[in-house]
Amino acid sequence: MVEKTFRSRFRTEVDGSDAPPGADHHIFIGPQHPWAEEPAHFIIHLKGERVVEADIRIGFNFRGMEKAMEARTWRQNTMLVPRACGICSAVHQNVYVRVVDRLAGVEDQISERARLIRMFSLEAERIHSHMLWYGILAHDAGFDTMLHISWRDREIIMDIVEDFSGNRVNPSLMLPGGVKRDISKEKADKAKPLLGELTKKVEYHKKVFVEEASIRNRLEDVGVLSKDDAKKTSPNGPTGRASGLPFDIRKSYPYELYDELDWKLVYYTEGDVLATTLVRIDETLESLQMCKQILDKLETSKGEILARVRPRIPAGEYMTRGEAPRGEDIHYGIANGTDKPERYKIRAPSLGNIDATLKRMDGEYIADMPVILRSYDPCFSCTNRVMIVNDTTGEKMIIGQDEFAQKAIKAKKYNRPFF
Amino acid sequence: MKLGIIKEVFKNVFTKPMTLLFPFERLEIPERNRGEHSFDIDTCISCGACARICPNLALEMIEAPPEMKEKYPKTYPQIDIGKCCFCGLCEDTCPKGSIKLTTNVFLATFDKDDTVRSPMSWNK
Ligand code: SF4
Ligand code: SF4
Repeated sequence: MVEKTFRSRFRTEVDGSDAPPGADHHIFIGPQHPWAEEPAHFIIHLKGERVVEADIRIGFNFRGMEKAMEARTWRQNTMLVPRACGICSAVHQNVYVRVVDRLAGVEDQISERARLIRMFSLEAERIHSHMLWYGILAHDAGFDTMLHISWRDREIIMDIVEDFSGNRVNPSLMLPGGVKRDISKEKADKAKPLLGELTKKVEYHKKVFVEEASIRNRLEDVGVLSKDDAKKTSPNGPTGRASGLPFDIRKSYPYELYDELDWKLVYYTEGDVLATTLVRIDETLESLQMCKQILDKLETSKGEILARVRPRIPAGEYMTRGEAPRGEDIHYGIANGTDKPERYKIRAPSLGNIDATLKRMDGEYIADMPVILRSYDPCFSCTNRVMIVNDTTGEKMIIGQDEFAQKAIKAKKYNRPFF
Repeated sequence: MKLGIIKEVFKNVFTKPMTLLFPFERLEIPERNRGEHSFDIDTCISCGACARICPNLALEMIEAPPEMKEKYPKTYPQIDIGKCCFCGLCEDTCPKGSIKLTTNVFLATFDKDDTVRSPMSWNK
């Protein structure tokens, strides 16, 4: 058998004309489909019931946020950035404020207390994001009881976040220079027993996923992504950690005060959908104990929670990363000395995981598609890149970053139009 | 664990439901909630900081109507709740604490114009 060469994805024609040889059916999922809450277009090439290859088209949800940021001040953007994603709002805000802190030169003025509160917000977000995800995964696998159980228990952490910040999913606790609101001792004392209660419930959830045959059989050995394939397709976050790539920004390049907490990196080597689930459940437990540590540390830490940051940010550029619930979140900002950014770029985690997920599908049954597609925690407000519309012909194209850069370089070099 | 999850199902049959019968019962809204704004026109110094910081241009500095011009000669913020994203930046920047976000989250209106609150008729 000839070894299959690695074919780049994101290329399929909508009529299926460049489908891989051997495929006899082509199934088009989305962009509007009851499976996904968000718009993406999957094209699955089948031979009989087995997937030969899968492709994806994205770009239905492009919102032009980076451009909008250039029209607002750095301070206002603190409230725009978390809207990049409904679930991981705190991590976007955290990475953004770290960029601004560095550019404004106030990085060393941020107190320990402010950093601890930022970390609490991040970890609480990881807990509720993972709990939401494995609930939906169970729903996709046809196990709705688990969906209701996990979402019911998720309310505990949501209530804590709401109590601390005033909002359930968009805490917006951070500002350049520190945090907006303090966590008082009464609030922390109220939250601690609730965290203990939630830990027991998440342990029970893990037991269900591991021991309950009806869900375990649905996830085990499904959509295996081996370590070699993972290295080729370079997934990040829990998707990579389930395939034996123990990489977590919090451990590898610690930011805030992650190196001062006592926690361990969770990773599995199996690479199937069950492993991605267990990675996330174990991470939830890990985050819960980190939250408890943070609340304990908050009792003794002192300091101003907000350092003064001038509205005008001196010229400079900085790129930094953070570990979002879904993977690696990269922000890059250029300041030009005014109070508005010159350019701001967000690389959200879901985009990095698509290739690995498409690789996962090769050779699987069509009936397993929902759980495999769900396995990387798709979030299309994270994913969408650029759609170019030619205003004379009305032609639309969706291109990735590399292609865009190549085209732009060519256009500039030979002084010819972009198309 | 053949019976495990079934046990959970039976347990739930006999416990109180998670949901509440709104509007007869309601959850308490935490005091930090970012809801409708309250505005105290008497402490406002018309500095305009709130209107400048608002990322959504929901706040606009307007003059008082002629009959109240004598008492309130300067410009005061008028809010369009429909544009507001409840970020709370106006509350943070106001030097006098005249503008505050309250716990009222019931802001739906039948008429689109009702979302605009003039500084004279804002609740305190
Ligand atoms: S809460 Fe934010 S969006 Fe709303 S009026 Fe205040 S500054 Fe503007
Ligand atoms: S409400 Fe506050 S910030 Fe706005 S104009 Fe009045 S004093 Fe200034």
